Amino acid sequence: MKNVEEIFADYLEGKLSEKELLSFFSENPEAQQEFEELKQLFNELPEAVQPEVSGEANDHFYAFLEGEKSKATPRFRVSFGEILRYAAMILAVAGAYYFGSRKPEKEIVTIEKPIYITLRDTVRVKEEAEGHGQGKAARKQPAVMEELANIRKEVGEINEVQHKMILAMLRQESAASRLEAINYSYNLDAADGALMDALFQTLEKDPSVNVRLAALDAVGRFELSPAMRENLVLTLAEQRDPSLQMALITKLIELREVKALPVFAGIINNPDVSENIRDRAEFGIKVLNM
Amino acid sequence: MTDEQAMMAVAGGDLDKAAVLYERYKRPVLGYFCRSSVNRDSSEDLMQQVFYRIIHYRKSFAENYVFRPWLFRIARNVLQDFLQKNRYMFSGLDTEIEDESSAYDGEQEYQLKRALEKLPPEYKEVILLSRYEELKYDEIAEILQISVSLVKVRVHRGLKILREIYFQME
Repeated sequence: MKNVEEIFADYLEGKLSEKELLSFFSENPEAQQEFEELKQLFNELPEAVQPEVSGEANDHFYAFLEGEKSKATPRFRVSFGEILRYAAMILAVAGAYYFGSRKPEKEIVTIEKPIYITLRDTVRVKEEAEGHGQGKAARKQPAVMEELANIRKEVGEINEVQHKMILAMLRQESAASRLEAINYSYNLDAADGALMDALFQTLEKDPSVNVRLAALDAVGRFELSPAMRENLVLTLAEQRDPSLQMALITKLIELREVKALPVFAGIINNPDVSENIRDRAEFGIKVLNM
Repeated sequence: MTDEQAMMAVAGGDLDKAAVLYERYKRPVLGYFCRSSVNRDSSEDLMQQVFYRIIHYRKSFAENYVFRPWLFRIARNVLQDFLQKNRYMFSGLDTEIEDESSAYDGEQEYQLKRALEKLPPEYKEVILLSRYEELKYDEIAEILQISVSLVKVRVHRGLKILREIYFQME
């Protein structure tokens, strides 16, 4: 036999016949009044309001979907990072072969550090050797210096190619490609002016919030000039996306950028900004005033 | 095309069909978060997270699944994660309901909405899912990982508590 909860729930779901209901009430007359009251209450609950979705949210979804579609498309692709790694290895091996195959002359030049196989370390070996270049031994080894100058030139060329590729990828329609470009920028020790401009432009205008957040992360990895810091403050002032607002405030606090104080104050006084962001801005004011 | 056919197509790699499901369900999912006392901005973020998860986990959708409860199970998980991360924001919820009386037809409807906000979460959840998301009890039971009998009990008790809260407010 069903209890009152089941009878009521089944009735709401339309699974109870009138006959079953009457039969239940004839055996449990005390339950009828409560049943009627709850039924009335349930029917009087406000109708479901289906809120409109903002255009911005739709844009985010479709940008994300495009990114996923391009990721899902099978294609032959060699990672740019891999190309760089192989290029660095070839340079390093060539350098090692060169140094290894040279016969010692009267005055032996010792390269104290081993030749490593990464791009960054290849550059370091070169820089250290250049340091020796101030001394007597290296002055007597013009061939070594010439070779190192060649390596330096090639490394410079690789950097230039890397910058150009990242810039080109940042102009791609697919959000996934733009994200990939930003990921590549993480491998750079420094970004030139064009790349920083492109990253800032991405941060300010990219239709995908994910890409904009990644651009902020990338920008924050490089040394920022006072003008660039000011640019971050201006971006925050213009920004309406909550996740970006939060990330920008956090970054500006981390940078201890006091020029952000008036913008933080504006956020605190803006009732349209969500409470947790206003809290973070308030926290920022406290930290920057310390 | 049914929801299930569209989702099976997504699972099979036809991601364009995700847009079909997004257009059908973006407003109900957004409404679910708004009704769960999450503010509008965060609700939109959570709604997007639901669709991101659907696409990411598309291959977990099996042929015998029904899309709507599967969708709301994901939505509930997203909501739980959000509430967990933002516990401090929701501790004083019952005293911080926005004044939106103009959005309701009458005073009674508005008061009922306020009463719903004050309902303990386990009761509120089943009433929202059955009344507003139009899910069946067995589907709610699956989403909440509880028995169908317990869902029925919670619907009944939830309404009784709601009635008490409502009369107290009057």
